[in-house]
Amino acid sequence: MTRHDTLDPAIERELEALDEALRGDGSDSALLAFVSDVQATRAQPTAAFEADLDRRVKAGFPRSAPWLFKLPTIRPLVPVLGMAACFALIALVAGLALRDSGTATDNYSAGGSAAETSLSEPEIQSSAAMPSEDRAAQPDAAAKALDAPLTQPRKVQRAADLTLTTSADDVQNVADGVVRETQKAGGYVADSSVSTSTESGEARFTLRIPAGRLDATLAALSKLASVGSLSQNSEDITAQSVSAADRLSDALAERKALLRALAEATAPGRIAALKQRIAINRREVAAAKADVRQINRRADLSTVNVEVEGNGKHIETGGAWSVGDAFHDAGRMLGFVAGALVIALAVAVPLGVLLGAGWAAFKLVVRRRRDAMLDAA
Amino acid sequence: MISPTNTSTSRFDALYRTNAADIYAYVASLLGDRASAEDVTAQAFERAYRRRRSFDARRGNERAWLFGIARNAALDELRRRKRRATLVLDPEDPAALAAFEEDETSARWLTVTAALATLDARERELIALKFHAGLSNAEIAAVTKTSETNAGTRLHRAITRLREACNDTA
Repeated sequence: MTRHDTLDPAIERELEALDEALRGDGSDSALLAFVSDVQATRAQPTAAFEADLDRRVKAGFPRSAPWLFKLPTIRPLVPVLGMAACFALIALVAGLALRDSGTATDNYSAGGSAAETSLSEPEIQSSAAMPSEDRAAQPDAAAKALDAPLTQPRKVQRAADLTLTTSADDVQNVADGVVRETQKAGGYVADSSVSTSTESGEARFTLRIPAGRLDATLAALSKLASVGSLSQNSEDITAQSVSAADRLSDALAERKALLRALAEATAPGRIAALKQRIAINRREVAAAKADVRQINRRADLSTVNVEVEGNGKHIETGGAWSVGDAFHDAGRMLGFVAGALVIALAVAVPLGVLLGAGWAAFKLVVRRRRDAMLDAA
Repeated sequence: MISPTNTSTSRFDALYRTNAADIYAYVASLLGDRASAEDVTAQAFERAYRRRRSFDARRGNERAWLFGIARNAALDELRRRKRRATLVLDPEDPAALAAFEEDETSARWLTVTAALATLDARERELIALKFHAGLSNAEIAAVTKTSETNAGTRLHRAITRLREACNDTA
């Protein structure tokens, strides 16, 4: 196939002569007459049309309302539809955020994969909602709880095991932090052992923390070092509490009856037997009172076993939110944003390519149809 | 202070003043009736007004851009007309036509009109762009989306055929 990039010289000359004739120049009278005759067939717009078009141009071609807004039934619904779309968008975003949050908690429960991250209080609370170790004991606890009166306030014993990892030279600092946070929570260290060396270190604590402060304390402890693992369990001890209270009540009632019987007794044998019985009852009352106190204590104070392993990589996590924490958080946030952008691009780029190709195809089809119209005219 | 909006509006106003009659003549030659030509001319200027900020000088001058818009609007009108399956042409008045034929100038007018009718639509379009709208060959190439060489060759062929048809009719 030959491509003609230059015009034939003869044609070019004739076209130049035509241009001259169109300008009113040239010496070819026949061409001038031809041009004049063809130009005479030019259609002229009417004055009314020109005036109307002038007016529209001057007004800037005012737009009429889009056809959708002209529909009387649609117009009042537009704000409602707009709000509905906004709510749907918010619900979508919230749903995605909650799903992400749920995934983070699952990872955390698994232990290892989230070991490098500190835990926030809400995360601990959510993980404590149904500890995995406690699930097996649920039917038994439920059966016991059913025996207790429904109006009885529930008594729940909670416990947690926390493993923190840090560098060997940081074990003492973390151990001090554990004691400090325990005292701050109003609890006490029931048992502890700390051993440190240049190569490794280890600390173990058994803490008693007021139940109401357990979640906050776990959150604070988890900031002292990297969390290796955390497990929590809870046990409903309402039935045991009711049982102990009943035993105490029975013992006290029996004591009252025995004392009354002793006051009325006259026979020496009877009096001796009652005194012996009263001595036994006194021990029963004391035991029942001890049981009640112990159960209340179990409900009021949670046991937290903390193990600090001094062989991990040192991570600065101490106390208050520091500039380092800010950089760390900023890095994570940037990573998250970058990830979101990559996902968005992964969706947007193929979609854009498809839309672009579709648009180009559409334009091509429209152009061909228009050209076909010219051929058919 | 002259804002970009005011500048583009005044440029459009100048473009309109210069080309309104040419656009109408070109569109009328494509469509063959005055009413449709008026509608399409107005539509073309409205489209151009809405898109005036998207004009790209690298792709041709404003005049060629405007005629391109008018061409698309006219061809869209032809498509609509085909869908409606109606032929809309200005009715001819036989009495006026008879009186017209007696005058020499009018006779030449009729000759050229008849000769134009023998051309195909693409050739008529080129004649209209050249003789009625006064476009340069480069502008015609831009409007019809062909190369300047191709536009020149086709234009030359159309003119030759028109002159032959005029001679035959005369």
